[in-house]
Amino acid sequence: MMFKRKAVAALMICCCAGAMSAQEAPTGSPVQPSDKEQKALDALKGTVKGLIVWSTSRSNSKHDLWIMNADGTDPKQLTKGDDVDWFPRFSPDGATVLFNRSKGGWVPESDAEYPEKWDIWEIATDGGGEKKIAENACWGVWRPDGKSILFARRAQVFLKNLETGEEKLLFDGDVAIKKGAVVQQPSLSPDGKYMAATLRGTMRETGIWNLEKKEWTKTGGGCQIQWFPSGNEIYWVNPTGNGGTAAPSEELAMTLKDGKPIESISAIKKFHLMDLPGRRSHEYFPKFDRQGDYMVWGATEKGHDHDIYDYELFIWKRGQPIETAVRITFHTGNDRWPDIYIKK
Amino acid sequence: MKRRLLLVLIPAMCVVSAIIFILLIRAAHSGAHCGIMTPKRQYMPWQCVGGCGAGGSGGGSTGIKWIGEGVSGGRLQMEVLPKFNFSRMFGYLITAPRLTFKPQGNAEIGLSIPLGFKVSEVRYQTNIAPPEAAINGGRGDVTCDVTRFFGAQNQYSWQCALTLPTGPYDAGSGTDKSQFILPQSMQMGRGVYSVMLGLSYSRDIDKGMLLFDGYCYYPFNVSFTGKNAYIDSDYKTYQTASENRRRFYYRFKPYGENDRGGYFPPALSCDAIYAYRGIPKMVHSVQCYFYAPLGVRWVPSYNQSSNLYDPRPDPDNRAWDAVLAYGVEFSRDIFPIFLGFALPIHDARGIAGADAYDPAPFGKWHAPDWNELGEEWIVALGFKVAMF
Repeated sequence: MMFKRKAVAALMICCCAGAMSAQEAPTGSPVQPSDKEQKALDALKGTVKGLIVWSTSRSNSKHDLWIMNADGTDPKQLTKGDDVDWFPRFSPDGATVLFNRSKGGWVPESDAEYPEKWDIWEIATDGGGEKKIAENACWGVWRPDGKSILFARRAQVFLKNLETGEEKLLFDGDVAIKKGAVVQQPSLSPDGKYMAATLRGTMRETGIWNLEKKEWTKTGGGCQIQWFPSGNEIYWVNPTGNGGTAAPSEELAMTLKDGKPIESISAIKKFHLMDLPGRRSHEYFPKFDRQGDYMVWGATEKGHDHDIYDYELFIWKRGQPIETAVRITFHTGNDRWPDIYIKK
Repeated sequence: MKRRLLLVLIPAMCVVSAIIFILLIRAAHSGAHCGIMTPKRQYMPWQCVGGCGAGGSGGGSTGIKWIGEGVSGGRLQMEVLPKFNFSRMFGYLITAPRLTFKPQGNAEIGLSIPLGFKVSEVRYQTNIAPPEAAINGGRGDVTCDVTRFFGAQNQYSWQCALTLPTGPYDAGSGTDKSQFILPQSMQMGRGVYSVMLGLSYSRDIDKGMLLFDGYCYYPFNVSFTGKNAYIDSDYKTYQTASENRRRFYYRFKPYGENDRGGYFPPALSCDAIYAYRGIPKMVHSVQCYFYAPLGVRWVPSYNQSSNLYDPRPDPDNRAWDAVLAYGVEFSRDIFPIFLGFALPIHDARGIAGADAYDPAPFGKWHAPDWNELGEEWIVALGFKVAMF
């Protein structure tokens, strides 16, 4: 009887431990494009000059950065190691990539709120010059001048001058918004007056922080809000739209004036930016190039976790029908957080 | 002797349910090799809590609701969540496999087909028979539903459901000459149609979700033959009774009375659920349900063999019911598993007055029946799969 009880207890502990253990991404395997996808790829070839960098588990279940031509050709590994490399962002001249790197092995993306688990690094697009840029920091993005970067440490957002090394506190969510608020993926408007951010923790919304007036304007829910290069629009991921049979998710865009939405978020049909038809329509990680012409993003047909499921990357020229979006990765590993640099 | 029978039957039911569960899982696995999943589709996660916005409920049942991680795969999804409701007096194993199809990202069509097995010690409150063990089982009332999500975050949804009287509602027990209709709790169906309208609101919070649902149920009945199903057999003597004519000859009854005279009042229910997903690959949920009928349920004459049409207020009627539940989803890639425990809390039973046909004593609200608290439990264990 005692043995049975112990056996049942051991079984339950094993089940719980198994379920609770954090899961690394599958390395997956390549898949062949369909005829239609191949045709679209062929048509894209050579028409867009630039680079795409992204985080993938295809070579390492903990994720490395890979880089390819913007038309999806010549993919190659950029970083290599047993730490998690993700959220790559091209410098304004396209020569360097800023990215998050975990401090010790596998760290899930959901732990981005713990800055002590991450550092921000940079690497040249040719694979050289890898170096640490900021300690205990996450969500690093370049400023347009290429001389400073914006990043977050849980509730705080800093601007770091890369020449002097000085860090300037721009925003403290604990004070400005609510204690326990966490800032994800802060994005400063090109003129530096407003900061778009996704709030998590004790707040769950997206909005704009007016740096001059010190005023928060909620724009809605969702996540991954960013500024268009033009500075008068924002785009973000919203839990609505098509999804095939996956959870709804689409990319929306909204025009702002003086850092505030012109229309209410409830007029959601006016804000559609990208919502792929079909089942692979769980869209995340949208990112425009610096001119605002091309957008790259990831989409999965099932599963949500950003760092585990089979997201594939797409490219689309703004203004064209959504059917012209072209899938540019074909691999069952996880492909996430692309950025695109277009050569002028 | 009958107690012993129950003691044997309830564990046997547990074993049978476990075997069914294992077989279903094996079937799901084997499905992976026969075209239900293609090799490319490695994951079959689930809709509910998930994504970067408010989620939605899985819809459907009260008592314990599957709350788990979001997103899904496959055009057709199936939730199988057998619930074993037991006390020292009864054991009910009910499962209502729920097939859902999403024609759009913000709409869902569902079909629930209840199947069950019930065993109980029946205490007829007629003093005409001693307690006896009774068994019933089979299909229940099928429900089809439509859910539409709306709001800037899809945080709201309305749900409309229609329940069809596909389950037997006058199962009896006893000898051929002395058949007694089993209590309503032992029946698999209700013999009436029912529409349900529901409204849900979900809100994303730190590492979790709050979900609030409100439902109203309105039973009614339809006869495609224009008459009571038993008027030509059991209730021949009532064919000419003018005072009850509308009860026996009808095409539509705007109230929930079945052809045996059982009556189901409209009802309201609500629930509040907190889901926590701070631990990878698990979603914990705490769920509270409340259900209140807007009237007293009536049951047919117990004595079926007398051919007597003699409905009366159900002595088992409760003015309200509540359920406190805890659930945990193991959010696995292939198919998630859900385990839930629930504690039903009932209003203290009303005591009949001198007039057995007076529903008033059974409709009064009382404090919970503390003596019964903790004697009845619900355990749910289920899985979900995606197909096609």
